[in-house]
Amino acid sequence: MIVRIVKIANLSYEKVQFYSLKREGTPYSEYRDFLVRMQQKPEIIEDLQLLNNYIGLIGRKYGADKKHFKAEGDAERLPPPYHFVQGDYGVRLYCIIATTDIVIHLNGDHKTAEKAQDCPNCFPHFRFANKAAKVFKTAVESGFIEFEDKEIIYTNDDFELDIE
Amino acid sequence: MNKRITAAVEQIQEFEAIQQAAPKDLLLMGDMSMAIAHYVFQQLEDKKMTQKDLAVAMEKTEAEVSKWLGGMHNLTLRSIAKLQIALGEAVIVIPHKNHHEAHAELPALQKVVRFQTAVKGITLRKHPVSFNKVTFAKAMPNRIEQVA
Repeated sequence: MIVRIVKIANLSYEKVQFYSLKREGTPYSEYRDFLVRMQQKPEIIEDLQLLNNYIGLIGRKYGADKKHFKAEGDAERLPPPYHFVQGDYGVRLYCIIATTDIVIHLNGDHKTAEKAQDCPNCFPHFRFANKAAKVFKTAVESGFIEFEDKEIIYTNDDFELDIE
Repeated sequence: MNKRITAAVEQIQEFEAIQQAAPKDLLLMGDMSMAIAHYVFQQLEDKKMTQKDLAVAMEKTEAEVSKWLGGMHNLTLRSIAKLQIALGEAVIVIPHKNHHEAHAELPALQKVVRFQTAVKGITLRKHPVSFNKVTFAKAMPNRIEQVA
C-alpha cells in the first residue's frame, strides 16, 4: 500500500505543524477520514471535541511533548494519558511524533475494549499506525526524510512510503 | 535525481466545523486538564521527583497516583488539594480574595468609582469628594499624583 505525507494547512500552529498520511486511491487523508467518520457518532462527539482541543493546545502552547501522548507500540495516541473518560474508553487517534514540532495524525475510532487488540474498531488503525511508524522511522534513519523546523522534506522526488 | 520536496498540502474543514459546535465549558475543562497535568509534570521534573516520590508524599500507593496521572481517576478538588500539599506548590490559584475581604473593601471601592464619575478630568481640589485618600492611593496608584 503506497501512502504519501500530507501537510494539514489548518493545523499549522506556532509550536507544532500537524501532518497526515494519504493512501493512494483514497479520497481523504487518514486524519480527515477519522474526523468524517467520528462526527457521525453523536455518542462520542464530546470526546472528539476534547481530543481536537488537546491537538490545538499542543500546537499552540505545549509542543509535542511525549508526556501528552501515550505510547502504543511504535506509534503514539491521543487523547493524553491523563484524559479521564467516565464509563467508556472514548476515542483514540493514533499518531507519529516525528519531532517536538512535527506530528503525523493517522486514524482511529471509538474504543470499545480495554486493549486496542481486542477492539474491532481500533485494532485495524492500531496495526496500521504501528506499521506506518516503523516505515517512517526507517525512512528518517535512511535519510529519505529530513526535518527543517516544522517542515518534512523528501530528499528524493521518487519517495513514497510502502506500508505492507 | 535528488531534490528537496515538501509534502502536499491539505485543508481539513471538518476540524473547525466540529470544534465550532463544542460546548465552551467542555473546551475549558480540556484546557484546565492539560494545564494541570503539564504543571504537575513540570513540577515533578523541576523537583527531580518520580511518580513514586509523589505517591509517598501524598501517602498514597504508586498505583493510585498512576491512576490519577493516567486518566483512570477523575481529579476532584480533594485530590488536587492533596497534589498541592505533596508538591508544596499551588496547583490552582483562585484570582480573587475571599468573600469577606472582597465585601469589606466594597464601600471604599464604591467611593473611588463615585469619585471617578464626579471628577471627569477635573482636579480633586476644586471638587472635594468624601473618600479615604489612603484607600484611593491603594486602589488607584496611577491617579494619586493627580490628587496631590
